[in-house]
Amino acid sequence: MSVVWKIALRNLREHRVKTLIIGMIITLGIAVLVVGNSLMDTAAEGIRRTYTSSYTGDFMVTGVHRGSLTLFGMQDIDSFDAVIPEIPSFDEVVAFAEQHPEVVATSPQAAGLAMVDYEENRSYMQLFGIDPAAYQRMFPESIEILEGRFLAPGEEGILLNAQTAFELERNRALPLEPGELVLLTGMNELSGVKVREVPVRGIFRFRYSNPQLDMVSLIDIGNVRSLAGMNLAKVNEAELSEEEAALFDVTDADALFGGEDELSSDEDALFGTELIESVDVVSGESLDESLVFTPMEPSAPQRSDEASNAWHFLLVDVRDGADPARVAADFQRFFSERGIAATTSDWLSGAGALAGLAHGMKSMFNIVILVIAVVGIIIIMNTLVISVTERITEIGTMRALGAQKRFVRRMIACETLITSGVFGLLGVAVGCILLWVLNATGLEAPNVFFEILFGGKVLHPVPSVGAILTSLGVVVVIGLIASVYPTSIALKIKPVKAMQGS
Amino acid sequence: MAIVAVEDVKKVYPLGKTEVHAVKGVSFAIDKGEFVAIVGPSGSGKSTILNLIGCIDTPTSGTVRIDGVATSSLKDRALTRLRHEALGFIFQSFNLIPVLNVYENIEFPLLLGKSTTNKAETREWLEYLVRAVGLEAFRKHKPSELSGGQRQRVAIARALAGRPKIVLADEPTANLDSETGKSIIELMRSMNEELKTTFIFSTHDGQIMEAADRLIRLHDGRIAESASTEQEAHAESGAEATP
Repeated sequence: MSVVWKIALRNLREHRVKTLIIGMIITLGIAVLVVGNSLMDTAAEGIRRTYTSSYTGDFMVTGVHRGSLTLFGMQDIDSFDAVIPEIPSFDEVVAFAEQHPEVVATSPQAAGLAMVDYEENRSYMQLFGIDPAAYQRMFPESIEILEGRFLAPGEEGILLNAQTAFELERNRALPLEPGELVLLTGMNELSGVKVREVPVRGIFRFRYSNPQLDMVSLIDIGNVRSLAGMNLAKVNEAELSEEEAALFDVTDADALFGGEDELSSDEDALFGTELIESVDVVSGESLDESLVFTPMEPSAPQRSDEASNAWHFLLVDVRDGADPARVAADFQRFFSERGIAATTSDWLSGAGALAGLAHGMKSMFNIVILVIAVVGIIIIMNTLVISVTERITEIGTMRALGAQKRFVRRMIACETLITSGVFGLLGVAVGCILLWVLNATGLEAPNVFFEILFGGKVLHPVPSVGAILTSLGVVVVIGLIASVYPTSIALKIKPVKAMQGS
Repeated sequence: MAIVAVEDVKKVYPLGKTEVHAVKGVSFAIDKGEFVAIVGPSGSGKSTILNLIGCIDTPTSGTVRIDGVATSSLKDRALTRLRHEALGFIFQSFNLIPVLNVYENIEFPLLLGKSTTNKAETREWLEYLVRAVGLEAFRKHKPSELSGGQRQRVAIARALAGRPKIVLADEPTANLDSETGKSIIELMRSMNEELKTTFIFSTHDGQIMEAADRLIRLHDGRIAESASTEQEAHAESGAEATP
């Protein structure tokens, strides 16, 4: 064994109390790092697996857009109510996806928001307009039918989320049954307010859910297109009747809502039969004549030429082992060559705020780790500085006897690396044991927040190779950084210090 | 040729806003194989001179030559190499490395550079040194398990391990009792005669002065006189004969 290692090892043994203090800090820090990162990795992998196999696919194709577009719609505050772009040249895009050797399944989807009324109860929900056959092919295990059945191909109807159904059943003696009708009201920039009466085909729940997904109901694409205004092109100049124009010209609140004397007559004018009678509640049989109520833009919107093929998303699933990013790049190249204004987003972009939040927790955890690392560096550095200053004569003697500066540098680096390495590995072992226990017992989510974070109700964490390697890398970096200052002090010790005695 | 040449050396230390002139233009030479003691009262500059010869300090002006090499022109790395190859040190407080045992402490200087001898020869040489300083039975002992005299014996063996041309000893008997000091001096003298190694001491110890071939007396940073111990004895007997 080289004399440097020998001295380093024996110095550590000689100062065993100090070594143990540093060692315990390192062991604890590394154990926390291994457990924390493994938990995060297990949770992140769980979230990824759950989302890609149940909701998002490996990536999604959308129309070109600004801001953050998820399967739930635009997520940016300033574009929350913006119209979701449709995928142009949809048939071409699907044809490309179908012939791509790495693509195993696709499912088109559209998003919409709606208010749902059932008798006296009301709820709000997120709608996923789907192609039932494609959806079931791509996400066969994603949902559990609690009552009724899944949507049949081409059939009009809604599959209500159990959470929404529960809210609609409040204060009712009888539960909401499949076959009953619910009233959906959607509002959008293109077609204004739309009201549709839709039959409930079933009640379901997502196998892996979260509060955001608990608001999602699945609906036939025709209805979601209508509610979201997808089958309508942007209307040109609205032509108002004199009476309607007069309504929009009113700027004085008193004139609009009237004084006490005029209240009754104005109420009639505003909420009376004239306008309400224009609301046309339509059923599935009259689906194509979908205009029902457009108070803001009273003239008839124009039918879009591509209405029958309007989709917001094409969810793409790649074969196991294929790199989704590489396949998405092929799609991007195709869009660029054909001049199609479409783009791709990874699963996380499509998954929505809560999945993003859970995923972002790892970054927050890493910040905590960074703080722990800085504290660790300071403690180790201080202890090393004390150790060096206690050994000034010894180091001075070594220098006097002919030890070059690099010898002193190596000696301190060895001490640091031995401490970091031994206690770092011990920390990894402790972390792995803790993870093994947690894996066996399962870590139950105490609340919804943790459910989101865990990607389910119980997390069975496994040691992550990445977490272990990261932890060991961190401990080496901590050791090296912590030794820089003490080494600089040691290197400044002149050999003449040997003459000053101990 | 002198193995050590000190030519008009001055050393000034800053002390706050003032300066301390520790050595004020000292010149002398020491030949190979000499057993020389630099003596003088505290603050006379003897330790400073020893540090300058030992290349662990640099003169403010003047030249120190070790085996013909002017040390003031050398950088840290070359000075360290010179210390390693040409010099051995014996310290007042022994300065052994606490975590190494007797054998390892003696071996230590040999591990700081490339070895010019094979392992067997090196081991034989180290065993000889262990025997020479009478510590065969303590070879595995740590410094903390040794007496002061034993520690200084280890330090002597360590100083000789690299077969240096010069051994510098700073008050080597100051922390030892008189009997132990005497045996240490005898040991160094025998090593000097056997290996022809030059020994230079800074000391107050009368026993070392008696054993030395020559004394260099310093007073207030200057050489008071330099004379062989025989000359001193002759001068002293002449003085005694004078009525």
